[in-house]
Formats: sequence, C-alpha cells, structure tokens
Amino acid sequence: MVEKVLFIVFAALAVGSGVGVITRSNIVHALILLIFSFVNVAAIYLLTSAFFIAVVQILVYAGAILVLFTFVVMFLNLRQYQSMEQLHPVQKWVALIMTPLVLAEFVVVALAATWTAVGGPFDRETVAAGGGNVALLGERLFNDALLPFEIASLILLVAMVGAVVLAAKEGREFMETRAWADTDEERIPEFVEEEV
Amino acid sequence: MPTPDVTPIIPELILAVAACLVLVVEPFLKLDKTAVVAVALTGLLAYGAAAFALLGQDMAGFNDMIVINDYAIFFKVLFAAAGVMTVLMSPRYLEAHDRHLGEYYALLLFAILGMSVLAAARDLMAFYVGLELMAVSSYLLAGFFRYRLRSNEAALKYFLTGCFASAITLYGISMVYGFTGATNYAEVGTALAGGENTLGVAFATALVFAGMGFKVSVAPFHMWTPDVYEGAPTPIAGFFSVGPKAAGFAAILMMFLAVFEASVDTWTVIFIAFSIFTMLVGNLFALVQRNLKRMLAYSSIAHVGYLLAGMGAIGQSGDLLAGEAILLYLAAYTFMNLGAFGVLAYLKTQQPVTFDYTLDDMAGLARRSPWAAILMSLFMFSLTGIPGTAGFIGKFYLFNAVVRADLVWLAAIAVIFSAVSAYYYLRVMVYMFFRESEEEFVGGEAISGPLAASLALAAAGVLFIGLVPARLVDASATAFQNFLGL
Repeated sequence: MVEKVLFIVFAALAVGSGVGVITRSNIVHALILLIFSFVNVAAIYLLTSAFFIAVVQILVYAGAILVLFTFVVMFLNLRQYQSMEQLHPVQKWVALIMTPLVLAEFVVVALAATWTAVGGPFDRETVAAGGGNVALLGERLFNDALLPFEIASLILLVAMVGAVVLAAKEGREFMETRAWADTDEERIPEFVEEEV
Repeated sequence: MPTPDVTPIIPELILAVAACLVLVVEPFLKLDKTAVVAVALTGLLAYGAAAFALLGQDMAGFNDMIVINDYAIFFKVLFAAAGVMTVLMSPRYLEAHDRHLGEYYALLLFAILGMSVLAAARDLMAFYVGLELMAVSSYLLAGFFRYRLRSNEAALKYFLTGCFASAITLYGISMVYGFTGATNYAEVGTALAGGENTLGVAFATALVFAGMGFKVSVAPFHMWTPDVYEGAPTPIAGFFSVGPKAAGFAAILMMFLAVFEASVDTWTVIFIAFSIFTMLVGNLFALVQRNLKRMLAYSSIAHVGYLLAGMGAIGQSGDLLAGEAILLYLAAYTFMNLGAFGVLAYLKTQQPVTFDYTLDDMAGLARRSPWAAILMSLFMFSLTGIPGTAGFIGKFYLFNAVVRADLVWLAAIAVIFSAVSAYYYLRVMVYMFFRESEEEFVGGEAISGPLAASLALAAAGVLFIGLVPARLVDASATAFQNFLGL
C-alpha cells in the first residue's frame, strides 16, 4: 500500500514536471524541471528494486547529461531567441488536427487492450540469489553482449575523433600551405567558401 | 569466467588496431602523411589476408552474435579491396585540397570495420551496432571538407536522413524483439515461423526494409544520394557508392532470408515493386544529369534496382542462383564504380579549381589525358554491361537468375532500363573523345603514384571478372551456399 502511494506521488511529480518542461518559455527553467523529472523516475526505479538503474539514472541522466545541457544553454545564451517565432504557420494547424487524433488513438488502444502481467526470468528472489542487480547486469553486459558493447565503445571513439576533425582549428603548417597564405589577412577556413 | 574465442573477429581486430595506430601515428607527422597511409594500407591488406586465411572456417562466436564463414569472408575481402582502392586514390586528392589529415584514414577503417560486422552479424544487436559504426564514420567522412558549403550540406543531409533511417530500422527491430523475445537471427526466425501476429510482423518487416532501403538508397528513400555524393570528397563518394551498399545488401540478404523467412510472400512483392520503381527513378534521373558525380549517384540507384530484382527472384523461387548472382554483381559493381570515381578524383586532383565534374569538363579528355579517357571508357562500358567487362557478367548472372525465377517480365524491364542507361554512360565517352575543350588546358601531371595503382587495381578487377569470371562465380556460389548452411 505504501509503495502504491509512493508510486502515485513520484509518477505525478515526474509527469507534472515533464509538462512543465514543455510549457516553460525560459529554457533554463525547463532544464531544471527536466532534471527534477528524471530524479522522480529514478525514485520509481527504486520502488521496483532496480537499484542499479536508479543510480545510473541519477548519475548519467540527471547528473552528467542534463548538467552538460544546462552549461551549453547558459554558454550559448539562447535567451535572445526566446521571442522569435519558431513555428511554421501551417504547423499549428497540423498539430491541432493531429494531436487529438493521437490522443484518441491512445485512448482507444488503452481501453481495448487486456492488461496482463508478463513475468520475465527475474524477480526479487532470483535477483537476490544471483548476487544482486549489479552482478547480474554485469554478467549480461560483459558476457552475453560483449561484442556489441565493445563495438559501441568504438562508435564513441569515432564520434570523439569526428568532433576533433570537425571542430579543431587547423595547425599553422597547414595554413601556410594554403594558396592564400601570402596575403596579409589571416583567413579562417570556416569563412572561405570554395566549390568542391 | 570463460575467455571468449576471438577467432571469428580476428580480421576485425586487425582493422581496429590499424585504425587506432593511425590515430596514434598521426600527431607525430607534419605535412608528409606517408606513414599514416602506409599503416592504413597495411592494416587493410592484413585484414583481407586474415579473412582469406580463415576461408573454409565455419564457426560462431560471442554468444552466437557473429560468425566467420565463407559468406562473411567474401564480403570482408570485397571490403578490403574497396578500402585499398579508396586509400590509394586519396592522398593526392586530399593534398590538392589542403586537408590531408590522418583521421580520414582512421574513419575509413572504422567504417569498414562497421561494414564487416554488419556482414557477419547473426544477432540483431550486433547488426545494429555495426550499422551505426558504419553510419557515424560515413557522416564524418562526407563532411570532411568542413570549410566547403557543399561538403557541409552533404554531411548534414546524410546525418539527418541516416539517423532517421537508423531509428526506423531500430523500431522494426524492437517490434521483432517484442514479438519473439529473441535477438538471435535463427531464434527469431524460428519464433516468427511458429507464431501468429501476421500484421505486426508485416509492419516490422516493412520498417526494417524502409530503414535498410535508406542506407542502400532504394527509391523513394534515395533523395540524399546525389547531394551526398556531390558534396563528399570524391574518393569517399566512390567508397559510399560501393562499400555501404555491399554491406547493406549482405545484411538485407541475411535479414530477409533468416529472420523474416516466414513472411517471404509479403516481402517478395515489396522487393519486386520497389525494384521497378528504383530502376525507373535511377535511370530516368541519371539521363538528365550534367554533373558526373550526380549522374553516378543516380546510376548507383539504378544498380540497386537491379539488385532488388535479384532479391525478388530469391523470394519468388527460393533459388540459390539469385543469391549467388547478387554477390557476383556486388563484386563487379565495387570495381567498376570505384574505378569511375577514381578517374574523377584524378581529374579533380589535376585541376582543383577549374574541374567541376560537368560533362563539359570532360570534353577533349582523350587528347589531354588519353589514359584517363581509356580507363573511364572501360568503367563506363562495364557499368553499361558490355560483354568482356565485369558489368556484363554481373548483369548476365543476375538477369538469368531473375528469368529462372519465372519473372521474365521483370528481367525484360531490367534489360530495357540497362539499354536506357547506355545513353548516359556512353554520352561521357562522346564528350571525352569527340568534343573539343573550349578552354585551353593548362598542363597537369599524368596519372602516377598511388592513384595509378588504385586505377590499375580497379581496371584489373573489371577485366578479370569480365574475361575469366569462373573463379569469382565459384567463390560467390560457395559463399552463398555456405551462408544458407548447405
């Protein structure tokens, strides 16, 4: 019973702050509400005994990713764009038609569905017997799914190399080999438009 | 904890080590990047050689997620050949554009690594990470000339449509997982064959088809292709036109024959319908292009249409012949298309400012640079499908397989479109041999060095497959039968 009450409280807070995220016009407020929403989702994970996921949710999402978002938003000073109209005029009308349709679809499907609980291989007892959340998850991740895990790490490496390639300033020796190196003005490659 | 057996991924490990080595060596070099090119080439050759040495092996590893068998090895060797040709044609081209960075080769190797995983995957998870590794590296390579507007446009379009396609594929995969609770191809195939859920499965099939269709540019999901090929560095455009397509078809063959085997009737119709539309769009739009890179982009779409007809034939008859023909066609296509892009890369290296890939720029090429004109003609003949070249062998086996599957009308359509394609391929030769250049040509250097090696390799491949196809026909037959577990 206590769990049910707690679930309703956390779920309401998560959904409520989620609504806040999309209705705030101040983007920093929206981001802080999003962090709050993630913390509440983490609490729901705790209620379902998924302790590891709960901790990861707070560390990675509410912690690292959202703090990074907030920093970027503050650095870029996006507030000046707040007043700008960001929607195409037609979009509003399309949204006006599509939103009720999607809502109706959800309602119809939710009413028509028969809800049954599907038991997976894990419940509280088997998890406890297997050595806990972290041990079981680690076994799955680093034994069963080792190959995709390693390839995913390569994808991250590629993304990092790519960020350097696309963003790094080119070295002086490169600039000097360019055709315009003898002009007085130092030209930055980004502002040079050439034909490929 | 048991140590996993790494035999199935030895070639991939070599490639990963080479790519990381490139990244380590690069900071120590100044303008001369020969060492990086050497590392990349050695890595690719070792990758191909390791794959070749494993020929005849048939084993799965890493919880049955990846296999090494003749099918996977066929594609690994093909990717190694495409990689070597791309690396060889790159250094001078990049130097001419003042952007010769070692990261280029690292990204290329990572893209090949992704393709290699894609072709060998036997599990939806491994399939998806391979696809993403290939895609992320490709986006970066497309936008490698970041100070050029067209390159930026290419990268952005490729990135956005590619992400969209990946998400659609992933949605299809998630539905498959939802229906079956498994990610292994064989397990999923068995579960789908025994289950009901026909509408949902059809929907998942359609989603995976649409997502993969984006990757191999099936019309109407082809919109990104001409823009990306036009904006990407030319060697990379050539690589895109062969590598990810071959990998995509390797995955499509496995997916639709192993995973969606149960809904074969549904997808056969889909493949045949999209085949006709893709041939139509590719060939008709190629007719009106005056930019050679765009023309080759639309022609690559047309070739995808022929390959889809082969997929339709497999679905229709369950005949092995069509599968073998698809592998053969992919091999032939790799050499001829990469060769054509190689000649364009050479011309651009020679005249970085004035050459703009238009037909008019090709005028009088036979007098200025006879070797370039002769090689280009060879690749154009091959793309048309003139006997004696690889393109003819590819088309002959593919259309033959389509006829054998009782789809004579589809083969007839494909042949008619091939005849149409002769117009835009041979028009390039008309410009090269029978038109005079309006501007006076300022002398450039002749084809030499690594680029010559690359073009020689492509030309040798085209002629070898065209004149003595028996070896490759046998190889693709073994590879495909092996894949079906016969």
